[in-house]
Amino acid sequence: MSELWLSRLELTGFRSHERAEFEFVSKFNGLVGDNGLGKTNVLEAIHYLSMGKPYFGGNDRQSVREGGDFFLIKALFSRLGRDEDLELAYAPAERKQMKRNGKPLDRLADHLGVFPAVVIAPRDQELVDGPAEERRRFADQVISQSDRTYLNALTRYQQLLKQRNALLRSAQGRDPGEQLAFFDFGLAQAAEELIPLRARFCDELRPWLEAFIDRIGGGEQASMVYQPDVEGSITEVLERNRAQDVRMGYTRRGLHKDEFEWSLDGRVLRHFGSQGQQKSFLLALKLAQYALLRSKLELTPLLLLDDLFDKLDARRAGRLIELLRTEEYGQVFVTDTHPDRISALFEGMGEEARIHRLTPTPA
Amino acid sequence: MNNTRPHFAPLLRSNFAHLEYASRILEQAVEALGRLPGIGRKTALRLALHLVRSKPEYNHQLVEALVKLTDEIKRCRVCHNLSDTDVCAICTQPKRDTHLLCVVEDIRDVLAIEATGQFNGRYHVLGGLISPMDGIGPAELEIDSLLARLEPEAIRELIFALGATVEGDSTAFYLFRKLPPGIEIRVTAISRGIGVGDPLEFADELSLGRSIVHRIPYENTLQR
Repeated sequence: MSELWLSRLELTGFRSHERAEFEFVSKFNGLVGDNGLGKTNVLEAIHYLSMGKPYFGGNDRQSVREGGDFFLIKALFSRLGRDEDLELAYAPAERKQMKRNGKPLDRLADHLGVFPAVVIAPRDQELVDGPAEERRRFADQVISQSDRTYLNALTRYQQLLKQRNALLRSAQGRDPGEQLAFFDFGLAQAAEELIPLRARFCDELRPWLEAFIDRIGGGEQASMVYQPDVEGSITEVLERNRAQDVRMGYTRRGLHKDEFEWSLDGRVLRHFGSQGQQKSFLLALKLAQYALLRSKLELTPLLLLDDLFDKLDARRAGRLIELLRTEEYGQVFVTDTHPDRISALFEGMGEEARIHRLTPTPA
Repeated sequence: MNNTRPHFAPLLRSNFAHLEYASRILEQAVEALGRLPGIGRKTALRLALHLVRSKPEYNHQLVEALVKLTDEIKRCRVCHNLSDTDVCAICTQPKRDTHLLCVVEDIRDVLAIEATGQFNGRYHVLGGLISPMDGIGPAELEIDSLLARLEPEAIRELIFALGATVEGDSTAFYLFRKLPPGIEIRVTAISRGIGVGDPLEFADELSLGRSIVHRIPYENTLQR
């Protein structure tokens, strides 16, 4: 029995679902159906409950069903042996509101890491191909779920950066003088807290990443190196770049330009990896994320596998499912368009697995 | 929900952009009410219809209050709080410690601190916080007037009672740096930490961390 699992999910006006209800089992849940029936949207709803925001793209407003004016996600979880109700409601004119056991949560930040989830999806490819921002967001999300100090400092850094940039923009090429002093001081102070935590995150994730690459195959040695944009004093760098920042109207250097360089067999993945290698790396990375969160939170996160066969052929998918069957993993959700493929994967599991068929809503 | 709601339901469902209220007067009222913060067109219509049904004397009282609010309310010449007179009731109170000056964002903070009954000095209302994102810089705030008060009023302690946000912190930092060099004045900030009645386990790390760093002698916790 998993320590954390979702037993009931009710969607109202959420993305393609006008109304939908699901009863899940505590281990493997297959979501099957043709494209466009909203399989991924079910995973999206689960991610919303975990992180308070979408994973697969768009924003809150775009998650409201076309023509509707709100969405509601209701769920019943079992967490460390206790039943827990979660509810998330959103209407464009109002604030997003999450309730845990009927009690509204004041700050979504306090909710992070309480109902953890890890997503493995085709769009992960952006973590390799995309700009450094994607990799920073990945790191920020993982660290934030297990370290409130990091989340607080990061939120502060981002707010300070927005204010500093607004100040630079509004100054229109003139030096804003005294007013910059606080933002420079604050950014440096927050960065001082954040940089060591980003470095530590890499050090903690690396052994897991290496272990999973070894297990999955696709490469000999994977690594992840943190490259802070500024090494040493941020205050000095801000001072040195001041004239240029003023001219450009934004803050050019700092924590918001950090890079996480991923490589396989000593070669930078973004430039050299083949499609297959990149997919193996991403799978190993996500499993490493899962393992790290599990050890930090002492709770098995939900694992949301969108379009599993995008990354794996049938044989390797089978091996992955075997791995996920072990005690170290909790509840798993898998989407696929082919009912047969999923049935084959879940063969012989009995009560442990259930297949949920999504059908078109009658007009 | 009041029982008049179903009656208006067809109205509410229609597209307001092209709505004819059949009364130009009603339309003007809805438009005026709809300009208030947090009031959408639906609420504005509900309020307007409520006013139509109200006793005329209530509405006349409301009108009178609004006119007075518009034409007669002043800002205190000394502290810039809202006031009926040139100098507000707090600034003219004889028993206040005039050497103690508390800097706040707006009138709501004055009311909040007054409600504690723990402060006997005077105030200075900045009228906002520095926030470049919202186009608010030092020039938009009552900062020069604050600095101009320090020497004539022989202020001995300046208390920053600003929100624990990036904007509150940046405003305090700016003020601190703007103090005339060599001025003899104690500058303090309200303490941050655990709320009264909050168990430690639910406190956020930042506040709890601050409480540890800025811990106080135990005897002080016995005072009110």
